[in-house]
Parts: sequence; C-alpha cells; structure tokens
Amino acid sequence: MTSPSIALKDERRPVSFAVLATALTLCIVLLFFISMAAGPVSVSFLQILASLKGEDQALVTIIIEQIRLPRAILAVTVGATLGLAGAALQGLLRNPLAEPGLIGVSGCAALGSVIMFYTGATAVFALALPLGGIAGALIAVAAIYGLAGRESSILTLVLAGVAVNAFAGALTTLALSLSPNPYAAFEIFFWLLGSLADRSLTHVYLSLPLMAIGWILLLTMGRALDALTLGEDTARSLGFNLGRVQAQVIIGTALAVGAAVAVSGVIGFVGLVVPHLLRPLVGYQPGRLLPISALGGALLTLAADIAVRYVMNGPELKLGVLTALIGAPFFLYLVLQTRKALR
Amino acid sequence: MVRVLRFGIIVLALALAAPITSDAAKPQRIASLNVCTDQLVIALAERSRIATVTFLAPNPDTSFYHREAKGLPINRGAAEEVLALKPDLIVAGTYTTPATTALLKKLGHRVELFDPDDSLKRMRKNIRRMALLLGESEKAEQLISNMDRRLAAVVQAGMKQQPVAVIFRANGFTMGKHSLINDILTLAGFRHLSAEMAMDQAGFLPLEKMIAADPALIIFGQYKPNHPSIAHQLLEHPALKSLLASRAGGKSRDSIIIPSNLWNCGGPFIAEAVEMLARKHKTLSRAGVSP
Amino acid sequence: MNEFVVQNLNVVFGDHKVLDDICVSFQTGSLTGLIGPNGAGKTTLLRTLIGAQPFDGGKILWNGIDIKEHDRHQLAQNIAYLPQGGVCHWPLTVERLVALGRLPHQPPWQKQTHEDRQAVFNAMSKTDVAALASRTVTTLSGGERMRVLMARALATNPSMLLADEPVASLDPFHQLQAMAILKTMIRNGAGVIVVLHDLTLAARFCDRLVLLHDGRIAGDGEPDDVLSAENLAATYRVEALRGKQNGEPFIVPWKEQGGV
Repeated sequence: MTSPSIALKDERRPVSFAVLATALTLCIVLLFFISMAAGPVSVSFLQILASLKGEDQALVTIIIEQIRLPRAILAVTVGATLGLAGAALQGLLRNPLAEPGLIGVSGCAALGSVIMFYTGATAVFALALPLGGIAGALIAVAAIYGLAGRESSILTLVLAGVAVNAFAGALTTLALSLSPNPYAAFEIFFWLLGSLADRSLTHVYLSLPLMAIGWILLLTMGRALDALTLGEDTARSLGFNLGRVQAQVIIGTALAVGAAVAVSGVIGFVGLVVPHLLRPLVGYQPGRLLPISALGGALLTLAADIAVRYVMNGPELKLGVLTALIGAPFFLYLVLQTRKALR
Repeated sequence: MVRVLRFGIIVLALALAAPITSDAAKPQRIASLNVCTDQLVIALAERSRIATVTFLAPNPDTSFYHREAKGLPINRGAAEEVLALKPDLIVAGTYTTPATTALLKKLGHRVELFDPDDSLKRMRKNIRRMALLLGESEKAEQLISNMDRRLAAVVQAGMKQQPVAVIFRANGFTMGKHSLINDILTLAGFRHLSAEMAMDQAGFLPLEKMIAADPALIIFGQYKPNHPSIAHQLLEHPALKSLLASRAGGKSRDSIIIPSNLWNCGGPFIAEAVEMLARKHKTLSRAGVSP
Repeated sequence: MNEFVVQNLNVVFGDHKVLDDICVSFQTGSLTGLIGPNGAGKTTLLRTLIGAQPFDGGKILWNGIDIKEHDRHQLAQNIAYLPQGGVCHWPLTVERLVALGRLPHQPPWQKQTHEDRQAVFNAMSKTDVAALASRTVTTLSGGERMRVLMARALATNPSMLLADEPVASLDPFHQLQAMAILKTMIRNGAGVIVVLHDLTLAARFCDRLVLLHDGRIAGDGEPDDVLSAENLAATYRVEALRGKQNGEPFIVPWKEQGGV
C-alpha cells in the first residue's frame, strides 16, 4: 500500500543524473550573472566581469561587490537550503507536503531571529542572529516530528504545520510590536514575506558556515531516505540506525533553514514546489533528489529574486510574495490531486 | 455740556478699550495638536498661556524645545483630551487627523490649521501667522531677525564649491526638492541630490542609486543604537562605509548626523542646522572636494 | 551455519504481555513456519529479531553474539526482512526498488557494482518479475508487488530471511510459486522464518513449525506433530480435515470449536 500518490504522471523517464545536475548548474551560473546585472543602476556584464577580476572601478565596484554580489550569493545559498530541506523533510516524513515553510520550521526560525535581533543581542554578538534562527527551527522540527511524524497522514502533518505557523506568527508579531523602535512593527513584512534586498556580505558570512554544515548533514542522508521508502522496519533491517537518521535530518534542517531565515526572512513554497517538480526526473528516489532539489531551489530563488526587481515600477516586491504567488496555486493543485487519489 | 460729556465718555471708553481689547484678544488657553505648532507656541507664548502640547513635545528626538515642554500638559491628539482643557485657541497641522480637527470646529472652537513647513518662505509665513494669532508679533520679528542674521553670516562666508548632499534615513528614506531641508542645504552651500534627481517630494532612494549618484555628504537619520531595526541596519550597510572611505575621483566624502529636532519642524532653531552644515562644508572644501 | 538464539524473551505493551519468556532458536538450512492465531505475537517476534522491537528482558543472539553488540551493517548483510503489508512510499520503478536490497552491501557514495546488478537480476528472475523491471511499483497488482518486494529481500543474498505473511495477498498460483522460491533458498544454504496462516502451505513446505499462542510457544517441531488436533483445538480453536496427496499433507480448517 502506498500513501496516496500525488500527480501520477505517465512520463516518468528519469534523466541521467549527471546531465540533470550539469544543466541545473549551468542555469544557476547564467542567472547568477543576470542577477548581478539587475538593479536600479544599470551595470553592464563587462563591468561585472571586470569587478570580479579585481579591477577597481570605484563606485560601480562598490555596487557590484557590496550590494549585488551578496544578494546573488544569498539567493543561491538560501534557495539551495530551501530546496534541500524540503526534499529531506519529505524523505524523512514520507510525505510530499513536508516543507520548511508549510510545517512551521521557517516561521519559528523567524521568531528566533526576531527575538535575537530586536532585543539587541545581535549588536553584542553577531552570530546570535543565525543561532537564534537555528534554535527556533530546531524547536519547530522537533515539535512537528512529535506531533505528526512517522508515516503520518497528510492531514495530520498539515494541521500540525498550521498550528506551529500560527503560533510562531503571533509571537513574532508580538515581539515586533513590543520593540521600542517605531520601524519594528512594519518589519513584520520582511520577516514573514522574506527579502534579499540590501543584504550585505556580512549576512553571507554569518549564514554560510552554519548553512554549509546543515547541507553536509542532509546530503549524507540519501541512502537512509532511500531505505525509508520501504518503511521504518525495513530501513532498520537494511542496517540504518533510525534514531540517528531522524536526529541528523532534524538537526541538519534546523541548522540550514535557521541560518537562512535569519538573513532572508521566511521565503515559502520553494521547498514544496522544487522537490515536487524534480522528483519524477530522478525516478522518485529520495536520495537522488537531495542534491538535485538543492540546485533547483537555488535556481528558482535566483529567478524569483531577479523578477522582483522588475515586476513593479515602484519599490521592489517582497521575495516571499512572488514565491507565494507561484507556490500557492501549486499547493492548491496538489490538494486537488490528493483528493482525487483518496477517492 | 452734555455734548462735551458724551465726547469725553467716548474718548475715555476708547482709551480704556484699546489695551483691554488687545489683552483680551490674546488667547489665554492655547492647545497645540501638532509637534511643529508645538514648537512655535512654546517659542512665542508665555508658559502660563499654554494649555497643552503633544506628547512629542518633551521628546528630544522630535522636539527642539523638549526642555521647555517638560511639565506642560500633554495630549495625544484626542478631541476629548483637548476639550477637557477648555482651550480658546486650537492650533494644528493641515495633516493632523482631520476627523479630530473637524469635530473640534463643529463644537464651536477656534481651530487654526498650519501647512507643513516645506520651504523657508513658508516657515517664515507660519511663524508670523502664529505670532499674530498669539498676539506676539513683536517677539516673532525678533526671533526671525536673529535667525536671519545667523543665516546671512553663513551665506557670506560661503564657499564657491557646491558639493552634493543627500539625506539618507532609515529604510533609505530621503527628502525631496519641495522641503525645508532642501532650502537649508542650499543656504549652507550644498546641492541637494534629490533636487538634481528631480525628486519633488520625499520618498525612498534605493541604496544603489544613491551610491551611483556619488554624493559628497551623506546626512544620516538619527540612529538609536539601543533599539535595532532593519530599517536602521541599512544605514550601516558596508557599501555606505566603502563609499565614504572611497577617494574615487580625487574627492573626499563625509557623513554627518543632524539631529532631527533641528529641522523636522520649522522655527528659528533651523539656523543651528544651517551652521552645522556650513562647518561641514568648510571641512569638505579643505579636504579637497571637487564640484 | 548461522543461527538465531532467543533466550527468555519478554515483550510488554502497556500491561499486556505480548511475548512471555520465549526460548527458541532458528538455523539456516531450515524453512521454519511461524504460525499461530491472530495476536499470538508472531509479527512481534520477527520484529525483535531485526532490532525493530525493543524488548523488556531476555537476549537475542546471532551466531553467539548479542544482536545489540553486533555491527548493524554486518547484520543487515546477512538478514533480510519482508514486512506485512508491502509498504512503498514513493512510486519507484521495480528495478530501483529491488536494488534497495543491495544497500547493506554498498558503502556510501559507491555506485552500483557489477555484483550488485547481478544480484538484482538474479533476485528478479527468481521471483519472476524481470519482465516488470521498468514498471512503476504503484501500477502493479497486489501479487506482482509482493513478488517485487520479495525480490528486494532476495537481492541482499541473506543467509536468513524473515518474511511476515508474504503470501497473504497472492493468488494460488503465486502462493505456490512463492513457497517454492523459499524452498530453493533453503537448498542454497539460507534459512527462512515465515509467518503463515495457511496451514496446508505450512505443513507441505516447512521443515519445522513453531506454534505461538498468547505469547508463548505452544509447539515446536515437525509439522505433523505441531499440527495435531489437540494443538489446533487449543490454539486456533478449530477442527480440521486432513489428508495426504502423494505423501504430502493437506489440512483444511473445517469447523469452529463450539460452532455448528
């Protein structure tokens, strides 16, 4: 018996792994450069290349190196985190709807970061920001796993996610309202809708090491997630220590997502859409999906981050709004497919 | 005889009436519902005649006369609070909550609305109009002439060069061409970036655009180090630090913080802002700013 | 020869004793049927053997060493488990699913070796699913899926296979085929512990039967002895018709005890 299979497509021909990975990587490189060239000040590709080579072109270099470069790097790293974490959670919970945003991990990470930031802890100790995000994410994943985990029904998982998200959102808004700074109350938009605008290399340095550790923890889980396809008992019999697998996925997700949300706010749906679209291309194998989903997440986030700079004439759209505009209809589509499969 | 007596009585009446009328015309219970009208009221009227000022008046971030405002009854702009104090003159800004001012008018009170100070000209007009309402025209003229003297001194000592200055506040908020700040910058010998970028009104300036425009002086919004926000974090962006440290084009660049209470509202105190900027202008010129 | 030895095993769920002081051993080279009424503890016993069920007292030894002290990987290379129900969470192709059985033999980051591919192919041939190699598991019938899952277990080349009701959802043809496959494994030196409800299959194919009832062992030995009328009455609460065809027994449960 399988869990209700969502979107049984007929064309399920897996592409060669190497071809897929290479194609995605090339697209990422291309969009990376486009992202560097996108912004209110026109900067040509030649200027970008010159700056990256080390030529100092004064003010243009400042814009390229200090504003555009960190933004593009964060789009790749945050996007990769969301794609990877989504695939890992779905593999662990054996549920295609598990996604850091949907199940409340991102929301709690935002809460942790907000508490660290607005109490001034980050002014004293810069790493407090990503560590706060990680602490929040850890609590959320553990809570979800306790409430719903282990081959849970889709309904249970989504309900648990709704509960955690509502709680985290309310506490975040409360924390911001209590801040004496008058701007704080409006910054809810940054935290709950996410943005990569005006981020600096400092944010990259703060988040990247912890994200990288999370990536390593998650990427090494491929075989274990493959084994879990057959259920927990079979996975045990195939030689996997389930307690360690659960702990590693939980901690890896918390580290990566916590650090990402601390610098970008909550960017939803990437971890839902990307694994789902790419899963058929890797033959539905959870282990093979992990790195591919990371690449796909980076690609989607880069693309969305470029789009927000051009979609409106006035101030930039928040990144999370765009991913939600793509992701929410997609989620509805998944819901409809599930209903069909359950009938 | 009767005719002389009648004449005498009329003269006496007029003689007595004149000072009584001018005293009675002066409002004795002045209520101010706007932080900028607060400044003018505190500057011009005797303390005993002030019935209430806004809660922003004792706040040093927003009010130049914060010390003078201490101890005065405070209002938060609610009609109820104001009515309880039985004012005989209510002053507010044209942007003060219209519902409140309309209600007060309806209840028969005298409400005088002041347009925001968006230029030096308007500012002087507002000062004089307030003075007239309060019956303190003499005092106002004195304050204005003192201010003008200080401004004239700055203009006279002015340099030939006119470096570009820009206001950069939390979230990248900046002032436009039609603003008091614009006039102040011009007086102090600067070109206003917003005016050059054809920004008429206040608005958000993307960080990149600001850097590309290469201002010589960045005037930062006041920063509260103990109350972090992402809006303020933007003011510490490494790109800004790089810009200020850069000597590209042989120019030197600098930054300054002008306390917002010096120029968010119009008043004689703006002279201090002008003087601060003029001093910075001198420093920049000496360090070698090319226009 | 490899051997499981179970000593004084106790498993308690809440205040209900599911396994009560079980002492039994299983050797390779023997097809052992684990039988008993519903709720007797058969699945639980199998799960303790693969380390999926914590137990409250007693010991389980594999080749003389406590399974808790064994290297997980070593155990996984030698012991395969085929659970009830045939769970498969993602719509993999048959080939990929069967290949999961090779995981215990593959160090991390290693691609499939020739040996792996050979083992997968052999397993699929034995269970007659080679023709379905590129089909998606979710599109298969219940019987086909069961054979695919059995192939996965065989792909490990285990010395001991633990199968929990593998023939429950199979048609008669495939039931007989499956039991024949298990018999072949014995000839190749492996051991099998299979949970069965079908008494005839148990009697015909198993070398030895272990009868569980209320968490205790009610019988252990030759099928003829274990499937005595007294045992059937005491544990299954049925009377059965018996017979022989070509020297092989058949047993058909016929009447509930106390019924008409």
